[in-house]
Amino acid sequence: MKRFRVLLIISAILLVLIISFISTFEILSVNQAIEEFNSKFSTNPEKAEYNFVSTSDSSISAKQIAYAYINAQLEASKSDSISLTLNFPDSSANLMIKGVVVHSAKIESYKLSRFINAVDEVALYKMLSLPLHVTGHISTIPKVPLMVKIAPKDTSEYTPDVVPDTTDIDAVNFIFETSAGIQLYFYESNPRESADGMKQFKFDFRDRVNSGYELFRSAFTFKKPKYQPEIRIKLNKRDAKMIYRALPENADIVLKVR
Amino acid sequence: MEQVTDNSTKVEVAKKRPVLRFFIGLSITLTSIILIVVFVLYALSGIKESYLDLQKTSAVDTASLNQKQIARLDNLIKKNSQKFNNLTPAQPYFIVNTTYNRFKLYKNKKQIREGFCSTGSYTLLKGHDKRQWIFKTPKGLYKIIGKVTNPVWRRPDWSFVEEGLPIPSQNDPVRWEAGVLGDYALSIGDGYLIHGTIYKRFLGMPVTHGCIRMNDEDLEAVYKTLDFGSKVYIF
Repeated sequence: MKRFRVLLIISAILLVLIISFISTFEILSVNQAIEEFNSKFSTNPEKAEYNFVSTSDSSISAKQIAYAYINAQLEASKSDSISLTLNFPDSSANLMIKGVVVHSAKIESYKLSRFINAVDEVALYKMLSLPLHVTGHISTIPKVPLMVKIAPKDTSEYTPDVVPDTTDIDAVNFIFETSAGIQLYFYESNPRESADGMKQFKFDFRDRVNSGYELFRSAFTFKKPKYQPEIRIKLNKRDAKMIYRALPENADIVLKVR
Repeated sequence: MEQVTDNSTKVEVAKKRPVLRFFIGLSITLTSIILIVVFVLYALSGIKESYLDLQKTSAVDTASLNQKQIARLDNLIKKNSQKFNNLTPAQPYFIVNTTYNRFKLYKNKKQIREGFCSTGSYTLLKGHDKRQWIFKTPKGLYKIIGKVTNPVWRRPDWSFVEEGLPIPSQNDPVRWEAGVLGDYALSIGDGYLIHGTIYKRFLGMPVTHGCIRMNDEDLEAVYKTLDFGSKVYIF
């Protein structure tokens, strides 16, 4: 019985040690991410129209955010491809082509990482004043729903096309990795209504397992894990599907966070 | 006799104990592993976010702006907003949604019509001579570069390949087919057209070879509203 108690105490101590070890590693990675972000966006472009300043005046801060937002939209409009604007204060997500809004969707809910408040104000304005580029994506639906058809050898083999199934049976959830290191998570807003709840849980769980695996690997090889701030967005399923399918591989994304 | 039974029970319990201990030990180990995994997957992100709260930077007036600088910032916002708003054409334009096969027609920056259309089916047709075609509607900004009434369709190679027919020569009259494109056709370049259809039941579905099909009334409105150079936004 005594041996058993000792075993129990050792287990508890080990548990606490492992959790503390992992937490410390994660917190160190957060600090590193803040430093990297601040240094990445610290320099002013040579031909900057306006140089952002750090200020405690909320009205000037709001003006700087507004300037950064309009500037980023103008930059995105220079590209020929379709871009996305996420305006969190207005809860709107707009698809744009050359500065023209081609589709407007309502952001049902969102959660911004507190990383945005932890970084340097000027670095944040500078990051927001240019569009982010999508560097990678994962999703539950294919980006291009391609169907392969082999041509018939002659007219006897020819069968007219059947009516396509246009019902939205697939759950729509996707993640965009961006050039600023921020991950954008897009989820269906009411997955339970369309029986997509379990699919959403699996998608989210798989992502957490991947991150957890990376964390363990880093921790046990004594390397700082990579911290990536997240923005989680919930959209209507149709809007989410339209946005994912419309955006090209390296799409530009404009953010307004305040 | 009773004494014998008691002793045998004690012996039985003693024999079972290592097995019991093993299972208790195993369940403690498993519970610990599950706790660590749940902590890493779900609780750790919360801890990181709480830590970020502690890191929150308070803005410092490194350079307070004077009235002149504030006025300049206001002017820049106004100028850039104007520049951005001017990107939306004052002339009529057309928007096509290829995911849900819908269109919107705009005039004087206001939507004047919307409805169903049909766009590319995303079919990859593989021919037997190693040639292949993807039937998709291109996305992005296009302009109307041609307008015709009573268009006649010149069947491209793929239309013969997909029916298992031999490909005729480029000038063969069999390539020309009247009455299948409706009353009007507007060209956006690269062989892509906005035209009518005899397959009206498929409107709202992705069934075309890349062109944009519309019903007769919508097509007429689009034809009469859009001019040469009018912008077509496809997403």
